[in-house]
Amino acid sequence: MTNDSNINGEPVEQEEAQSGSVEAVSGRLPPQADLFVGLGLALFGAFIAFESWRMPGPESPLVRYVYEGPGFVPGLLGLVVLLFGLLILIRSLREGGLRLEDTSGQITAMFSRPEPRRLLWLLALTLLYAGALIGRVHFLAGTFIFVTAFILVFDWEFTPTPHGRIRLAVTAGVQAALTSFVVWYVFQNIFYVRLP
Amino acid sequence: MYEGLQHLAEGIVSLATPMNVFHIAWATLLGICVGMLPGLTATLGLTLMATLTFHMPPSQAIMILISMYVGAIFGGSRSAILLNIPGTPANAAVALDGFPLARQGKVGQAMGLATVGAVFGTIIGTICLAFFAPFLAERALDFQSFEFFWLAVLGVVISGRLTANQDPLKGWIAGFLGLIVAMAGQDVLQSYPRFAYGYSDMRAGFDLLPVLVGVFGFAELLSVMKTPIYGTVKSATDRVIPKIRDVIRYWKSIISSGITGTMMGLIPGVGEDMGAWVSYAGARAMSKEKEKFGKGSYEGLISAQAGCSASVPGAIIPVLTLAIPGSAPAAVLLAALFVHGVRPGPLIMIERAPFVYEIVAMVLFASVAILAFGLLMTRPLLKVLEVPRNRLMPIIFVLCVVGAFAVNNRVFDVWVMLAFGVIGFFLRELRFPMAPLILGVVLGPILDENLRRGLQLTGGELAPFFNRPICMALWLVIAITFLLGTNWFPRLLAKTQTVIFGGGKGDGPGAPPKDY
Repeated sequence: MTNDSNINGEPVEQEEAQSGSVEAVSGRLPPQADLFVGLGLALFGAFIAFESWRMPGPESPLVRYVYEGPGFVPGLLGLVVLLFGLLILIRSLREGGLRLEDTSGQITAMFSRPEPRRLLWLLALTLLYAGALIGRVHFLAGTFIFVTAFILVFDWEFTPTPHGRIRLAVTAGVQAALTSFVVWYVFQNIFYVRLP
Repeated sequence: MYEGLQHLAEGIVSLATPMNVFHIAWATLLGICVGMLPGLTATLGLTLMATLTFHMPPSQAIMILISMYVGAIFGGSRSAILLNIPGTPANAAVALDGFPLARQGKVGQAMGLATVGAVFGTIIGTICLAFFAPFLAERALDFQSFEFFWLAVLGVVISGRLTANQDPLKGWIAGFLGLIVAMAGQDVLQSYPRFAYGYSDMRAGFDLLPVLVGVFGFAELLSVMKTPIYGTVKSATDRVIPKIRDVIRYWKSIISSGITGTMMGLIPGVGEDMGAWVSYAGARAMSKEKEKFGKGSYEGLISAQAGCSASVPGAIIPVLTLAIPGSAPAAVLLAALFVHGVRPGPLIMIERAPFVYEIVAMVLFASVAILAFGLLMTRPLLKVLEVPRNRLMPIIFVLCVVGAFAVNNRVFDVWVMLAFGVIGFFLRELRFPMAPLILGVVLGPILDENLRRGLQLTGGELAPFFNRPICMALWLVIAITFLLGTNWFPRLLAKTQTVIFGGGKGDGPGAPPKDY
């Protein structure tokens, strides 16, 4: 990772330049991480192959030959993923993937950084809204709660004064009300989508 | 030829109504805004727009999507130049020279030149689209199940190789995972509900759009929001409209980058990022001012943007003629075409030739729109970059949820979006590229149907899959791509080269550093 600065003279990390990147596939993971990736993939591939094998085959009246069966192609694909998973696993083992020293320290350090905390908040808010609120409470109410909570959670630490926090709560509420109403109105009355 | 020009003229005339121009203008502008904002990619914008335009007339919806596509790929250059953060991954190469130019106080000039590069790149790509699409569609009429099977494999393999350069194995795995995802639901031959486990919602499998919204919308949001903030924005104070002599001086680079970008766009699942990088590398190799590249070269900037923008029409060519997307945003476009009842593929020039030329005209109109917005609205458009991310992202997520729901009016699709968002996020964190995954989801049904139909036709005989001329070319390319992704094959090639021609030691200069 190299450091540079933007035109304001403020530091901008090169790695950050890739932060929004769909294909930000730079660098390799440590072999310890790849060990679990390879293992997981091999198990997933084996599961898909096994489930495909359980699908109707030539013994079924619908299928005359193996290649006509519904499990033929997914079975092959499962085997390919199993093979690729094993390749990653072997590569990781060859690169010292079993050396798991200092793992506990790494985990503690990981959770004291802002990234995992923000990620946990994000997952909690989004999964709660889309997984639990949508379909159970009215769209307007659910969206209002979600947008307000989202703004408060992520702007709170950047608003240290009590006065600023009151203002933040008010603006969050206004934005949440506007967002939920506009989205609801546009979809319901212009696109004729009956929102849950 | 004459008929094609006539269709093109008709397409241009039919689009030139005030309402169409209005739709093209706002969609391109919205695309530019989406492209500008780091974290909102062209694919995300297009996916959300595909769900929003679901209930519009087909030609209008496709026109809006294409305008947004062209706008977003161009818009990413703004933040690449200003912040050194490409608004879309496609603009990463633009930042190489755009950002140094901005640091030299030439923000306006950089933006003006990027705009001109984008417009010329798009126009060159559009000319290729107008000429190549009918040609490719005609050739594709000879394709049977055997060729389509290999084409599907080729798409996944090439895309996996080129989007995960340092670890092609992960690119291929992503592609094959996408193919497996596509296997869920009723199969085409026996209508057997695969991996449904008795759930009625799973019988139809995963709809492409909720999967796309998850992988490119929700996962993107998680990736972007997990880091606190990005840099601040400075305005352009110098001249925006570029000097004609600067443009004329680099005409060779513009044309070669435009053609290179289009060719990269044509390759399934590779798309705009590679279009920009390969064009940039090509322009640098040919340039008389190589030393300026990376330090604020006008030529580098204009070539990268021309290549990136030319990939857009390039990526549309296989969408129309083979129903295979040239890039991730093109996969959304393909899904939208299916949703709106347009059947892309080899028969499109027979069934809907005028529609192909209407699309050519749409891209042309969108390129005119980016010229106008890029040169005349540079300063006001930069205000978009000042929108606080914490305020924008909850709205984006609400749109992801509503967009996923709107496809079939069922909550199940929202859960699909959530599941694929979380899976997509963790796969990204584990360095798996997303484009091959999506390409796999799109190509899965093609691969499944054509492999089994091909085997049925031959009574289980594999020979036609290998000895038909086009099949032979396709599987050879696939095999070579696989081999070049290994550690030992490039070394073996280098050693063989050394033995035959003598000279250098070891791996030789051409051997890429591979890891397994």
